[in-house]
Amino acid sequence: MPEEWLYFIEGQFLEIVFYLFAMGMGIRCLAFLVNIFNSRMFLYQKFTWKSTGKLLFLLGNFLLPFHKILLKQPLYTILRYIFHACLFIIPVWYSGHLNMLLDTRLGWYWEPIPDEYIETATLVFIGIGCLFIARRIVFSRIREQSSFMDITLIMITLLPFITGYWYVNGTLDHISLFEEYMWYLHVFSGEVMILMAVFLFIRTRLDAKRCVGCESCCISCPTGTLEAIETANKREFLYSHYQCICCGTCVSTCPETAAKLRHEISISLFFSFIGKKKINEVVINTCAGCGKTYAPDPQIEKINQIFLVKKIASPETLSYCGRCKKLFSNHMLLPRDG
Amino acid sequence: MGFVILIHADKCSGCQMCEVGCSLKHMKECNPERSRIRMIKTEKNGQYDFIPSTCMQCETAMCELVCPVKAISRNSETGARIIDETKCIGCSSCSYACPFGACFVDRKISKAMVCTQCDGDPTCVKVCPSGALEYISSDQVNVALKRAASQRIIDATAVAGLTNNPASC
Repeated sequence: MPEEWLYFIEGQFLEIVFYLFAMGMGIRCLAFLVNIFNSRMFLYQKFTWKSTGKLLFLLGNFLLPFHKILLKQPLYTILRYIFHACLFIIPVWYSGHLNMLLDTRLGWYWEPIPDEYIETATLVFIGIGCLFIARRIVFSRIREQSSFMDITLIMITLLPFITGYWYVNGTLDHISLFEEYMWYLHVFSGEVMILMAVFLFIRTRLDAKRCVGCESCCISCPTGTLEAIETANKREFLYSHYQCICCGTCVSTCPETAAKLRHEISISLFFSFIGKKKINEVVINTCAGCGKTYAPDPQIEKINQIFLVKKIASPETLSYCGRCKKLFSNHMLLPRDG
Repeated sequence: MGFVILIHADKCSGCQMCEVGCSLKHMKECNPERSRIRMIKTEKNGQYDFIPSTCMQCETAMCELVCPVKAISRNSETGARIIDETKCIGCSSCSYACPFGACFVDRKISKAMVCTQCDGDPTCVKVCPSGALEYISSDQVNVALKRAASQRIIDATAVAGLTNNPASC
């Protein structure tokens, strides 16, 4: 019985996984198109050649994200580039994979990268992956932010590479159990990773402690993924995951570095094709003159803070809306002490 | 030394030509809501007051201080505040900080707007029919007031029967 299972994993299941992967990606593309054509951006704003070109350019940002973080943490960002490049290049250009998957089935394959380069790249990849896990565990600031899922995600990504390296080099062959099953372990972990990629989303998150609610991420978003709606005395930020092209404009725009793009594996997100999720909300102040809502409370707080630091008396006009300010400041009707 | 748009509120007739001219010049449409100079109308005991309100060219500008991306700077020639539209992210911090409500965020293009004095040739001053707006160097602002004050002194001394010759005093 176990033998049959092993053959199933090695043969049929691999094909099923590839079909599931293709299907999942197809569904995601379809959901993306449906969401894009239903978006407020598409329905109410004209799409010109210039804006379409900008969108296509930003779509490429997903592959090579030049975010503001590149200047802040250059080493981490460069390691991240190498990690993602290796993740794609190693399995696709490894001669063993090409022989097994393409040559025997289709009788055709592309030129593989020499094995010694692949081996070095795999070692580099595993090293960087271990560094990322260590970083999440060691630094307390990052440990607070990261969940158990983040570490599991890196582990699942690393497993096929570690098992593949051991299988090719025969490192653990002196243990009979591993000698026998290492190949199946490698195939199975690879299948798990491919299936995981279907449910992998890159989501924008707004840090509730840092966000001042200035709405500039929603203004700069090229696809209208992030939206701000105003209820009675709150400004709510909505995010639709299928519309996002992971361009990172929100990350580079946010003046408070509150916006972040993070991986997330979620099956429920995959199946909610239409719909928006509330990711943050801030309280809006009311004008002292006319009683209408006019500015987010954290932003006024921040402006006050700037005046405190620069040792300038913050103007009384901060608690008035634009129209009331014009009326009062021009007519000298502002309530003054004494 | 910079230039300012001096406002003579007593001369303003409330025709809103400045708003129309400004929005036509900068926004290419006739929409007072998108103008950088606004005419404020108030009513008191049946008497209407019209006061044009625009950027006051503060020496320490609140808008410049609070801008998180440092998009606001000074034009070296005229001293007017200019906003770099490529840098501006539309967070409206400047509009909340401005004590006069002169800075605002345009809802159509989501960029902050402030009076740029049209690079030394203000349209609002040119179109104003009643002469309520005047474009002068900021060190000349109170010269007219000083002249008026000295004129009043001369008149008062003339009424009191005295001459304005210091020798006879």
